[in-house]
Amino acid sequence: MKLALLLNSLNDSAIHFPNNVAIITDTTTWNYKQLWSRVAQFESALAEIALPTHVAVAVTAHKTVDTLALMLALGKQGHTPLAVSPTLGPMVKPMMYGTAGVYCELAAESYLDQPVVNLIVPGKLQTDIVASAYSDNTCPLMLTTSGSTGIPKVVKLRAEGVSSFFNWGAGYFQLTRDSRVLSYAPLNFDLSLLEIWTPLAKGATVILADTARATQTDYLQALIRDGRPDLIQAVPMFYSLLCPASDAHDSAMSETRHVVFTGDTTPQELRERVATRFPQATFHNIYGCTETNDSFAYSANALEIIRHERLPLGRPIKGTAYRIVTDDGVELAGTGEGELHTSTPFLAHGYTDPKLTAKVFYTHSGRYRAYYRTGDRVARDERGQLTLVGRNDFIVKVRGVRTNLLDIEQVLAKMPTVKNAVVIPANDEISGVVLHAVIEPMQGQTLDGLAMRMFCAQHLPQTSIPRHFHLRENPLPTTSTGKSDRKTIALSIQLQRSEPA
Amino acid sequence: MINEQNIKTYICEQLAPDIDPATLPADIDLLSTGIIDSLSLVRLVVWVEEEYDIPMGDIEIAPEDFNSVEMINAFIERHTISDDARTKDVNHENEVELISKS
Repeated sequence: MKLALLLNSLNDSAIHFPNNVAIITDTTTWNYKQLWSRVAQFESALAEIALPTHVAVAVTAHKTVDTLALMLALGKQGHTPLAVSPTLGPMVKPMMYGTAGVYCELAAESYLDQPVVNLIVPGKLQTDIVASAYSDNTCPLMLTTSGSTGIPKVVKLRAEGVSSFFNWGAGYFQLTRDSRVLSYAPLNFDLSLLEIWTPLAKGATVILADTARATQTDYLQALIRDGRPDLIQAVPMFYSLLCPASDAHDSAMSETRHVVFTGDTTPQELRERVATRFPQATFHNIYGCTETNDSFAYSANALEIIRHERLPLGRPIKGTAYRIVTDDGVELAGTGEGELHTSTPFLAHGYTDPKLTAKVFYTHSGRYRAYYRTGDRVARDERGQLTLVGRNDFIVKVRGVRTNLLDIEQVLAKMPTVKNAVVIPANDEISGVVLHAVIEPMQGQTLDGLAMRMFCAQHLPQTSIPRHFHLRENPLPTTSTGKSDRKTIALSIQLQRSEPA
Repeated sequence: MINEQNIKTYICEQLAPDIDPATLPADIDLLSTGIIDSLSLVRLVVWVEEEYDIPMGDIEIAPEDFNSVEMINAFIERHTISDDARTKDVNHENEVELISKS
């Protein structure tokens, strides 16, 4: 993380508040002095890799203190880290790293408590033009977001934007050196900016949830009970696991002051369970995306948060401007629906691929500011209140990752045995959205579920691989215009799911 | 081998019914191919615990332990065999103690 504000603040905390706790994991507690000396140790370990000056370096985002220390060490040495999912397929890496100008991929580990830097993808110098993009201090960190071709897009964050976000987050959630913040999301998600980097920049404490146990109710309940976080931010799946409908022990967790819903729509019934569990908290529905970071916030008490059937988007975060653009391409003046375009103080530079940037980022000539087309459809009512209607297209969120259903269908259709493929999202109590692929074979061909999964794994991010494959023998139903009849297909899946096992 | 077959049957019957257990390679990466995901992994762990009577609460599980049918099998063997071995070691120690006392 190449950000002076963060690095200076960590240095200050290590000197003036050495014993304040920086990070709590399941096994270890790290104070600021220990964390900062770990960063120094990783700087020494990096010497063996012999990186060129000021390059972009992918970091396998295992959720560990060592990974954080490596990212900070890279930043101290003038490199820009790109946090990548540990499950990112090896097939997509060469193309992604090539366009992003990434020199190599590193992973942090410890051996007998000594830091070790492993070279996951060897160093390769990119062209001068791409590589020179990281020579200044304007891009502290890069994150990935799902791309329409199955190759993740690399988002270049802006130093000024990230610093502004730290200040907004700390102010909005009243973070001080005494605050404790839960980090549940994977390290490569933009949610880590609020959950990890903001508290560290402000000298607070981060409680790191163990990824391997992140779906266990008992573990999560103990984590909140023992960790006593002031601030929890998570996707609806976390709250369904933390507050299961069957849980008779409704013990209140009153020390948490802020409960943030993000990433997806949180159903009313789930909000009721969460509100019972955190009666004293202020609840927030936060809307944002990797390219803009948080842009809208709706904040309310327990009574208010359960009142709405659908949560409003709330107010634009301070400094944010927005436009609603109708299907005719004109800006909506009053009530109605359209695509949301946002301009936040935290806006990224764009993607590493300028062609992709040009598609969704633009400067509004009259307002002299940059906007991002979110692809989300919103409605504005008479009181000016916004609600999310859904995606403008076939994009759904699977485990927090934006996923384009048409991409998956296109990949499946490339298989020689497949005549037609339709991917249907279905809501699941625990997982949120689960993908079902319904497949019609080419005449005379036999379908093989294993081969399809392996084909998907080669061409798509892991979250895009459908959980269920329905291998049909007959043609899929079509509409009067000859397109796949998604409604009928979705209904057939629903009926199949409701049948007793 | 018997365990491997049993593991394959469970995965293909309960978690990925579109796959024929006979075609599932023992060394295929179950997570990266989407045959199981993080939530079905929890079901799989609970099943192994119950099916093989392994006290998961006392064991540190690494995510790699459930990467493939082979790895799950090795995990089961390690935790069922090591318990036996532990019992043998204790017995052996007792014997040594008895001999030295006598």
